[in-house]
Amino acid sequence: MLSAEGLWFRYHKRAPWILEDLSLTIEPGERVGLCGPSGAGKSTIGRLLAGYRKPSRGAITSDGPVQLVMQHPERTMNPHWRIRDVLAEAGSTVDEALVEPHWLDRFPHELSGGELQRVNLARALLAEPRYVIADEISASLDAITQAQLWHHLVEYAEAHGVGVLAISHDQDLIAKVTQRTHRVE
Amino acid sequence: MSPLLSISGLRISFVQYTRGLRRRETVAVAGMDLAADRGQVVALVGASGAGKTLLAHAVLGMLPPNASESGVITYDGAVLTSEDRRRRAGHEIALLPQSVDFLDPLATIGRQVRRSAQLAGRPESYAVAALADRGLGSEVLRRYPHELSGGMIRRVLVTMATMGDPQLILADEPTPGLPQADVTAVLRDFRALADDGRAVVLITHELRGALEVADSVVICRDGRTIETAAPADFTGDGPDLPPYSRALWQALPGNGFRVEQPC
Repeated sequence: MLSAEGLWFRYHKRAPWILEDLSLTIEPGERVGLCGPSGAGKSTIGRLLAGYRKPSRGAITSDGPVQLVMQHPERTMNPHWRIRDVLAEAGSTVDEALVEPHWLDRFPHELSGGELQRVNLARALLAEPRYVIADEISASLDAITQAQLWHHLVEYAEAHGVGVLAISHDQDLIAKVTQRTHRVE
Repeated sequence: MSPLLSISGLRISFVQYTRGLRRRETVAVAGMDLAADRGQVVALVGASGAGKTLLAHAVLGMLPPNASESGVITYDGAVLTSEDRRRRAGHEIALLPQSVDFLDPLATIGRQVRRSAQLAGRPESYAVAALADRGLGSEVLRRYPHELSGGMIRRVLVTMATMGDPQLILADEPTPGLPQADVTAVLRDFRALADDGRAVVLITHELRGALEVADSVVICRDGRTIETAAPADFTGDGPDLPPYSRALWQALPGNGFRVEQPC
């Protein structure tokens, strides 16, 4: 289980609290939606759960690796590396349903936003995570590419018993891909 | 009669030099057509990176120096040269920019709104009245951009963009990040601006919002406009829609979340 208990977070001692006493659990194989208005701290929760930042107070425990997938894949890759090398950081058996073989020799800026997000998801799954935090992963994509990406992630999560936290402002999307929703205000 | 704005065969590419003198051309807009007349809201819908913002920047003469453009843009029946574009920008033709970062974070709203009134040749009192028309009281004048909500900032930007009484408004992604009530209010503003006899081009990647106010929907993909559809046809399974529009419609999470590619 991935569990956050009594999380408080602020950037420094005089800054306002971004999270106040947040608790949340995700079971392996479970898909949870995280909803709330902009500025409610949704992305902060994702970053804390994935270990990118430490909570000011509270504890996070996990029984396996957590991978964070973000909205803008081009910001998460070295622009001077070919896709092959970007993926090699995480593993070697590339899922051809996500990454087409002829992309491997290209640079990130030579793929479209949708293609690059598929590479980004493939890289996260290569690391064999137990939990995936998907922070607005399809907010910049057209509806067809969004549906493809999510179908793939849901199938993978069901086949491998991976827990997913889906962060999105799109209520219809959350209703479609998750089993329950956690709201933050 | 020709429509107020007509764009045909717009193509925009960028020349870049990599590793010294190796020249490389990237085509960002490969062929876009769009027409918008007075009284109309035309939505330009497509994913990020499809070239929508560049189309708006081209109409205002805001493309960077390494961009090269071909195709024809006409305004009120006459071809818009680059001098015409710069001269009309901010007066007859206005851009509502995509990002709230277009406001100066270190200047009060009052100072920025008065400045835009001055540029549009209006008295300062006009700026205050224009803000009040959009439901923003005079207390807003003393505040800085970070002290306003996303919805209020949008209204400030709309006020500034319409200060010169433009006939053509290009609104670039005006709604992301806003709560639903603000989205509805902003979209209604555009409808009202068009109903007053202006032409509005609404650039967005949110098909649903566009359908609420647009008279026609132009779909673009990979730098091309590929289909034009009537908002009323986006209903049920979309039997009367052109193929890619129908696929987009059916792929929405609320409409089946299907992924059949039309091509």
